[in-house]
Amino acid sequence: MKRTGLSLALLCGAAPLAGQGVVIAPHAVFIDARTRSGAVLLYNPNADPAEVVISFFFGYPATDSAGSIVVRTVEHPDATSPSAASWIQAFPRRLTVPPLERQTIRLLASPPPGLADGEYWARLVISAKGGQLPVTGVADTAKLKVGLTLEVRTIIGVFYRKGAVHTGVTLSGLRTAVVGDSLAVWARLTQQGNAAYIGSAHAALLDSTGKTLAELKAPIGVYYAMEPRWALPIGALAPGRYRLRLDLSTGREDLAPELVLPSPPVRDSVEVRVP
Amino acid sequence: MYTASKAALATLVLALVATAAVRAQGVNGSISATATVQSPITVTGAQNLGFGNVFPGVAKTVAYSDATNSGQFSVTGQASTPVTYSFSLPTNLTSSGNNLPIGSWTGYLNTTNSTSGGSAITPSATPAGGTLSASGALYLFVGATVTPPVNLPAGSYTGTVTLTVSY
Repeated sequence: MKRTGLSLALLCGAAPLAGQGVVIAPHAVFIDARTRSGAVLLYNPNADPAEVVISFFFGYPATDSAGSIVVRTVEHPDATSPSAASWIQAFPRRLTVPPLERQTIRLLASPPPGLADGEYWARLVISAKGGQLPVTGVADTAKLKVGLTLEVRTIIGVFYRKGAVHTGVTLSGLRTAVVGDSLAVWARLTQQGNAAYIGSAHAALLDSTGKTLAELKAPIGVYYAMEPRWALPIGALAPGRYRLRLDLSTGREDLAPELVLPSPPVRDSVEVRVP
Repeated sequence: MYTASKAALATLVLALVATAAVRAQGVNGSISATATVQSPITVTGAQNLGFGNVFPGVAKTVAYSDATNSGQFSVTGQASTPVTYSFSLPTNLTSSGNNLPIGSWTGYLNTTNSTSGGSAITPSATPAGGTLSASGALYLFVGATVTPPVNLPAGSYTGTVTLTVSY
């Protein structure tokens, strides 16, 4: 006998929380062209029912002029954009998740005929609103009672893969600057192939003996080109010459390995002078 | 080797996809089981922004540092993950068609659940970037000022603050 099931462990029997929002897993959905379907699990850990609305749009992570990650939204993607937003549907699109219960959202893809091999993207929006909290106030003395409820919208990536997909990244323009007690690191990353580069960036500051003085590891997704900025906490670094090494690899702790497209690691380094 | 992240464990949420195959083998039995741990993301409105009682003609401010009344959000997910956040903020609270102006929004961003040691922010619809902590957490606090006109009718005035987090 074979049995397959979904369960939320550790939460069973947990006391409800006084908050609004739902737990969402996974945080990225990969849909294979052979199955054309995916699923997202929602769990409401709160004491009130959560009203959830699901929607899609086309967008992708990029960087702004400061190197911060932003999601670039394309309201009307043209035919050359790898957008899956218009042909992936969620079932249901509106639902109420009772307290301490879970619901599954099914994603079904209906790609246009003749879709070329490659990876297509959409952003899934999960809007969750809890029950109206009572407006606080003393009714017999106050003329006005005021309260605001909080709503949360979580946006995650959806990736539809058809046929042969491959990815890679190039690294250029690596530079650094000491900013206060941190070392700011910039690099230009350019995606290769027909799929987003999903991986990790590992920055390490080394002394002349090769000893690691500071390091940072962060997930990264490169969809086109971007120039992210990272900050390594270095504290009070003695004057001298150091080396900053930046490694990009497709290893990710938060994604199952079969979902991550392999690509050779990429590395660059640059000298850092601390006056 | 695929391992569960500390962030995922910190959320105390594990989504398990379990497959068990059971075969009878005489008087003995064997079970094989596999489990895939999926890293979740959670964005929570942890505390509503509460002004309590206000009076016509008297403005009232709730600071983001007000532990009891400020609006508080939390984000949990994979450690050190960059996220984008933005706010949708009302300009009026409403009650039976009457408007109570609200504005002068203030905010604070931190990787710990505290309004010190982080960064002051100006909540707005323009997306801004943040990074989850090494334990996979990020906290946002908001405050604002309501300015009731002197002739504002009595009632319960409500509105919604929306936080959008892109992972």
